[in-house]
Amino acid sequence: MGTNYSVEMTNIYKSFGGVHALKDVSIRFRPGEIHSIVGENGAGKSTLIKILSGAYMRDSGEILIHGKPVMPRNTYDMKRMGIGVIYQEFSLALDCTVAENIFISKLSEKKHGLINWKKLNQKAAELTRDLGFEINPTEIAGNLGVAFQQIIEITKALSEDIDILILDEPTAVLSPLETEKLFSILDRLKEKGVTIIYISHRLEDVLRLSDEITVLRDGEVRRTFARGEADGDGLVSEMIGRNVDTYYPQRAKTEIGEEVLRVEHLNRGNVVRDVSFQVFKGEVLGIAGLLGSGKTETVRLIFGADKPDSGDIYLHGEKTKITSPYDAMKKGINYLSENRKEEGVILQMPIQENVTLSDMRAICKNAIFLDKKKESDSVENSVESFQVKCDGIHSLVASLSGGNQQKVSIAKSLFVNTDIAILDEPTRGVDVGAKVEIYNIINQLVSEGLSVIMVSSEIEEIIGMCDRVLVIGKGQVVGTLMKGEVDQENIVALSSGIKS
Amino acid sequence: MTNAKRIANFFLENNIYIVIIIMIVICSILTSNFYTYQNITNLMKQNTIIGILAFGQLLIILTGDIDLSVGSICGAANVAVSVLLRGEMSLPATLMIALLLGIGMGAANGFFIVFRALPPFIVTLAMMTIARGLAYIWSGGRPINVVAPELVKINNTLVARIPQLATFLILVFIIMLILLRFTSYGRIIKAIGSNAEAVRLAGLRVNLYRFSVYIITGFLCSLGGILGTVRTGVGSPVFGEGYELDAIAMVVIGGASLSGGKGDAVKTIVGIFTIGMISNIMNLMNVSPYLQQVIKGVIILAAIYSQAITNNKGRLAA
Ligand SMILES: Nc1ncnc2c1ncn2[C@@H]1O[C@H](COP(=O)(O)OP(=O)(O)OP(=O)(O)O)[C@@H](O)[C@H]1O
Ligand SMILES: [Mg+2]
Repeated sequence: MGTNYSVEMTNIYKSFGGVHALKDVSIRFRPGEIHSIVGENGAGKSTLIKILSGAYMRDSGEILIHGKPVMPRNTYDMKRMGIGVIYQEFSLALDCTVAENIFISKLSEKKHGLINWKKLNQKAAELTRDLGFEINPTEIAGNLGVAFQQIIEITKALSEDIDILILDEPTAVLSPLETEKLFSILDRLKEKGVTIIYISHRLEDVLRLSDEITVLRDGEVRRTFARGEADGDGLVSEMIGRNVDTYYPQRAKTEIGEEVLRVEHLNRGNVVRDVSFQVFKGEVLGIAGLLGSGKTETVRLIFGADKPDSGDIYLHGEKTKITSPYDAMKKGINYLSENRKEEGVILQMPIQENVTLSDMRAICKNAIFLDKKKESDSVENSVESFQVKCDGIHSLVASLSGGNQQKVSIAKSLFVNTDIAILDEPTRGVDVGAKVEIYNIINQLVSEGLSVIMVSSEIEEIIGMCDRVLVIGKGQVVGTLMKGEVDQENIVALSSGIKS
Repeated sequence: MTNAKRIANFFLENNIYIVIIIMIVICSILTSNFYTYQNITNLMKQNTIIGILAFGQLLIILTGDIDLSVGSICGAANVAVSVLLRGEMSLPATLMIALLLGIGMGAANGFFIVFRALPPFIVTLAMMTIARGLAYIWSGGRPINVVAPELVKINNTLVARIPQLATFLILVFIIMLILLRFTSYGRIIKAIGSNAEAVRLAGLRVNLYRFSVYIITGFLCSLGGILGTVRTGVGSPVFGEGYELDAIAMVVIGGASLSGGKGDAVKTIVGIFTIGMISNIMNLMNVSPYLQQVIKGVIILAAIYSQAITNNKGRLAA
């Protein structure tokens, strides 16, 4: 037998310019086990698995796979060794169909160079159905929401024969139902002896799922826990070096004020059907629902990002038409997209220029010339309050870890003052410590009179933050829950149509 | 180690400066008359018009589009000036109409590209032939003398020992420099080239910005056309032919990325004179025009290839 580890990484170092992302990391993984890696944003989790997958070259250190040393030069080499990866940042061809994306690496391996499209689509449909997901294989990937895109990534990885499966934040945008489906798939793979490396900020999932949990902090291994050795608080204090007492801080009691927004009979295609609701001053309205329920599609209509087929919008009691995002912002509505890479941040621009994009007037003299001093002062401020871990505000957003990119995205959204903020998956991929800071900022703004519409796939977040919750299923409002009634069971039951 | 790396990185990032220094050195070694006052002013005048077009192209490329019609619009304006003057139109009115012509053609490009979502390559290709065709029709296919001495006179006027013609390029350069480095407009243009959807969702009117870029470029094209009459004394239907490709080459040699979002005014002016010098030095050395084309192409390819290498090195792995 030799060794009983399938992957052994020893003394791994990696730095980017002056940033030491990994320092002397040694970690081993066993076949037939789920081994999770947790840590703050920027701790080095993604870097570690990218080194294993061949996406990055290590500076030094050794990697053994089934006892044999490997020197991954590119992802293709490692794929041939049976390593499948679901990256945190999607790598989909957005103009291609779901089926083309799933089989993208096999498209070139066709005999005679011809592709049987019908068969390809059929196989894609079969594959997704086997995994328990419903998705139209001929849909263009770029037209789908991030949750569906995540499903494509999962299916793509599982369409290969894999011996080692790496998942980086696979559930950050999945609702509980899809998450459960993914977990049962992982259980099956585990039975078959696949090595599973799992990265997540959802610590409850991690605790439930993992045979081993390794905590990374500042690029170093803090500790590895065996199953049952750790609890949530213990993990958190290893991760961030202190205890967190409230994950969902209380909001200073404020009176919920008058109605600021009312939506009546909003329709768009068959994704948003007859949706009506109200939002009041100083409240957080949650929107929950399963994959494909139309949460994002609904809020995009309010922001003018898409056009409704029919329906009315009332702002402060007056009927208005919102024709574009520009128009929405002028009328006091602002929107954080769930899709930070495509719609949230500009990766090839510095943090500073990203944050201020939503309100350039605030940093301009005479409405034309940039006041760079003023700009950098205010950006320094928000970088600090949102706890963005970076090498200065002039670093490109592309050089940040996923969670830190998300912080820039939300900092950008909240840089502008509006009456209503629509936050779609605001804490996607953000670590527990920073989440609390973001919730504090939101609470502060709400107590000053902001109204928030919070779309989230994370039920705890909805429960912890919202005064009222709108549950959406198949494009329709299936129920509204008040603060006291909001709990996991009620939301899941409503959204999956068990209860009405 | 890191310091050495930083210095190396600086040079890799800014290799356009090295290219032009090498060019200047080679030029002064190869020919004795490169450094004469006569030749330097000549070089400036030669590259004024195409340089102005290159700055228009820079704006378009920053937003992620491309404009193949700049040379033809320039030619149409050039002919329009001479035709209108021959028809006894007053000089100010003539200039005004020529400028509006370029702006109108730019607006037409912008309308179809931005508001009708047609591909820039095709729309500006069509405009390229339309504008060129109009130049031939208006002129009857022949160069027409410009009957405005006060216009033609500018060609030989000096301002502080600098040819007055070149001051237009200097002015455009300074405005572009300010626009791109110090104004919100410049930043938004670049942001649109990097990720237009993110900019739209940040509440900015992406379409208006994109449209405005075509208007500005149209204006710069007709300015180039007007200055063409100054320089040649005629309005010619072939004026500006091939300028679009040189303008693109100048911008790209100046480090701009054809996929948008990246580019700079200083590097563009260096790019303009890099290409300008290549022609200049070969003329001084009496290289045959055919061979000139080959050499120019090879140098452009080499310069852009070296940039692609450094870009790839600097690029962040996925
Ligand atoms: N391509 C890159 N260029 C420069 N720095 C990088 C790059 N990729 C990662 N880093 C830096 O390396 C460190 C580790 O990043 P990594 O993405 O591994 O974090 P992470 O643990 O995955 O965080 P998250 O939970 O936010 O996903 C961060 O400080 C990040 O800024
Ligand atoms: Mg990561």
